[in-house]
Amino acid sequence: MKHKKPGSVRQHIAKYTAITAVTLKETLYHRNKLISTVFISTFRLIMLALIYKYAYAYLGTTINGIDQTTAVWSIAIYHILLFTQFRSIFRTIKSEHQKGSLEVQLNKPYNYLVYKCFEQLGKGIPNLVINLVISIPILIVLVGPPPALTPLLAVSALLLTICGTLVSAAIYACISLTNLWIEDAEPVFWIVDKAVLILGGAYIPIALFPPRAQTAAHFSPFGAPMFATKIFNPNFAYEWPSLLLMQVVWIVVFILLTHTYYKATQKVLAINGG
Amino acid sequence: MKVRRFKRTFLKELAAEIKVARYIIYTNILSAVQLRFAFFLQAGGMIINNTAFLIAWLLFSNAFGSINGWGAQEIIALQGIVGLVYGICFTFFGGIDELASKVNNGSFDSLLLTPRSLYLRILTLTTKTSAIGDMIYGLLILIVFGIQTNITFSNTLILILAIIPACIIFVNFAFTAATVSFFIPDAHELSRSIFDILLTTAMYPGGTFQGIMRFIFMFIVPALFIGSIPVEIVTQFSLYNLLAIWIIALVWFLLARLALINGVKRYESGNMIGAR
Repeated sequence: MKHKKPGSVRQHIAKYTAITAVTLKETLYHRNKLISTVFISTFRLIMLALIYKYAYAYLGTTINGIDQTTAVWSIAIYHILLFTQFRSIFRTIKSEHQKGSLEVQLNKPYNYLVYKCFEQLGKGIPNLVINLVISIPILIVLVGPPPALTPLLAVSALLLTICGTLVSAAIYACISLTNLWIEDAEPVFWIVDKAVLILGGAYIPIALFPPRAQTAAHFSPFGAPMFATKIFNPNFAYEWPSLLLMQVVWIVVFILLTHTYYKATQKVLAINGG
Repeated sequence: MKVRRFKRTFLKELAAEIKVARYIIYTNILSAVQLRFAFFLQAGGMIINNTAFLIAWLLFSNAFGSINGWGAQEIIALQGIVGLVYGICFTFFGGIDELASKVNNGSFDSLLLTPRSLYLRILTLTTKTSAIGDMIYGLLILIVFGIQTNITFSNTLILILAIIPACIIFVNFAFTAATVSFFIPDAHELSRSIFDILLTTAMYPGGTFQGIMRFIFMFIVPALFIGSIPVEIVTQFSLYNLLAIWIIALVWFLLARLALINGVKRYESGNMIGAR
């Protein structure tokens, strides 16, 4: 029998996907939390859809070639994809650091940050699926079906979603480490999170931004996690290669940054002894 | 004679309750400010955090222009008022955030032993440090709004008269939402969601709420009374709106008290052992 080398890629993948599977089961078990999270997200989405519906009806025209349906679906994509993001790992790491349980995990045979990202995936997937199932029919009733997409554009958007998830993981993992450096890093999280919120197009689609703000959203790392929201823009087909390139650049930059930061953090880490 | 004695006793009791609550709030704020660096970081961070929402809605206003008389200035006033209301409520009455979890984990027992008003004791349980940042942000934004619109003294008074009931509605709605945990087990998340509906909606420009939506968010979930109605009271004074906001504040105060009385009747001790 052929023995696998310990620590092979396949073993690593199996180990981390097992973590996702366990967290997924746990998330499904806490139904109250799941329902309330999805409920509030859907509510927010419906409210925004109604606001845009009213605003467009009041205005009676399109803005920058974006009509009501496109605007609402762009925002909807943001709110649905929010569950594929890694915002929660910040608070998880903060809480583990405060409780002192971090040291136990740092000594386990896995990469702590990768563990947290895969754990977060398990938390996000049920929310994402339920949100998709609930939000899409509601939005179709409210503003009509989304603009039609060619299979190629759909694949491009999927690619941007996957890369956006990786950018998000790298950014939030990086800022999560700040918890181990300063007394209270929550404000750092707020600032980054709100930058992603605005430049990602949570409240207003990027295509409706003034030109300078659009450039900022395109080139900053905070717009990159949510590039997939641009899928319904008229010039998406021309824009997506540069969007993908930006995402790849930010993935590389933030992974390198996080890796260096993680090594430095391990050296200065003070354990609470919890 | 009896009425006069009752009035005197009631007023004395009320004054004593307020004195105790004031002392607790003062202590809460002192302890929040104790860790200087963390405090400044939280307050400063919250100001930046809130500015993000302001930017988002200003971008919206830039794209759509004025909707039903709601333009950039109204949005600035709205964000300022909501920030101030949120800040005041969670700085002075941060306990509303703790009630549901206290009922859920059984640590509510200790509050029942309070010799003073249970309602005020719950409200003054804690101070949310970041809320001080919200309060400062709200004040700063309202000053900007005041300068932009050359606000008069009488309008400033009207604004204050509208913000006070908005705070009463906000606190009592959040309180009522938290009392859900008395009636439904493990309802911490649910009560949070109910509160989020109020907060989320309060931040949206009031001009986009018309017809049935306006009715729902005024009289069922009083979100428009937290920000939009106070803005409308200041920008286009209406005695009807000012009167309405005070009546709604009274209604939500009574509802919160009623919910607490009924909730406590249903509460079963969690038998949680702890030292205080």
